Amino acid sequence: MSRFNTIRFVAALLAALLMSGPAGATTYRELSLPEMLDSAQIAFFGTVAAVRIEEREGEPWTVVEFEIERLLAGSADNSPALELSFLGGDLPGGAGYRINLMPGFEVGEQVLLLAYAENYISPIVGFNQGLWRQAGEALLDESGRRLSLDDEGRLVHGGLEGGFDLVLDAVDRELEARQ
Amino acid sequence: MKRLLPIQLLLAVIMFATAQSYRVEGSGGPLTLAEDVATAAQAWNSLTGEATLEQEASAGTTIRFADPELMGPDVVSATVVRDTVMNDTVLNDTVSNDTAATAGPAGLDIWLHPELYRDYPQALLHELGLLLGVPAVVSASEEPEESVMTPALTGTGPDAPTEGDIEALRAGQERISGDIDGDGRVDLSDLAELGRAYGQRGVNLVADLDDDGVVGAGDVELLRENYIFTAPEPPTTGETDATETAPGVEESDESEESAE
Repeated sequence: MSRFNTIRFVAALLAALLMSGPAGATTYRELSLPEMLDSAQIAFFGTVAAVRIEEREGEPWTVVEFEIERLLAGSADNSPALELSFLGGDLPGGAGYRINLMPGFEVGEQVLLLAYAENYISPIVGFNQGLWRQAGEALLDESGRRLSLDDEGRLVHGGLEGGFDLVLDAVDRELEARQ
Repeated sequence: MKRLLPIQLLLAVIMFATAQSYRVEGSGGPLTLAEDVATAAQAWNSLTGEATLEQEASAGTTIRFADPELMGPDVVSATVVRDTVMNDTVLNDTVSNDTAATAGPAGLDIWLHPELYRDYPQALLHELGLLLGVPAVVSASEEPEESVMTPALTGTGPDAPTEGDIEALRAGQERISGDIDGDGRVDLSDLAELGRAYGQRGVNLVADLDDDGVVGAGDVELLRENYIFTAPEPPTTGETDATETAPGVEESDESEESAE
């Protein structure tokens, strides 16, 4: 390939890398928003502060530390940080294993999370369904759907309306109503 | 007869290329696991004709039950790519020592929730489809996809691979390296797909061109090798530059290099 084509290719690659989205496998029960809100024992909006791998009884666990910016449910001690563990990861020496579709986290990214308090392979409600990543004013789930509000201010998946703060307020209200 | 032979040979090659084996460890859940897996495998085999899923004692892929308390209330099946021997604590307590001894060093495990998997027959079809090379369908659409390859299970999904699933399987078999979106060419749209998938780890990811379980630099290199560069579309009005390559015509590296 010529140098010119290589440059064009790299430019196109950079453009392509600006877009992001998921793929993969593993199966889980599809949950509606009300079902997820009913199941959530912990809910918060926060920032990924650190990610590390721990070996527990020979198994790799990816431990993600979140800095909580807005606690919506659970975590009674009001701690500003919370750790959640996800089964899988790469242990030193290249050993380890990975579960398909298991969400990965980057330090600094901001997420809305509905989670269980128990130590499941993924603590996120619905495996990965109770996770929304902030992208500008939007909160997007792992399949790229936006968490938004309908005309009556109810939470819906896939809409286009609803500012970030309004959506978080609505999640807060819904969770409060369930307590 | 002589004319038939090449066709038979071709079919045999395709069958060999797509044959996938698995073994079943049935302890720790309903006793019908082997039968359930065989039924799901038969659903794929009967529809595809050229694909084969078969049970084999020495297969690198193991279908087994996992501890329901670890799987949680929502996960029906988990596709696990392992690089090492797994500890028994992850698996159901009733897994035999023999199983643990043969779990590594590398391969694929399919874990099933012993209490949920029978409520969602799609889960086994999905996992076996993955083994055959059918990519999972992850869509942002609110309309449910008619596919057994959708990871989110509703309990009312198709009970057999759909036409779309079979098409996806065949497209995968015929796809040229780098043609991630399956449109027959390796171009910007494939690069965009690779960009979206970059960093993903897992089984049978459509953008994992080198099949190493990670969408990364190796896949970019493979895509680069097959990338088709075409000249930009000419303006629709006004005169076109006579020296431009016609749209859709691939530029040769030689001519560019001489231009440089």
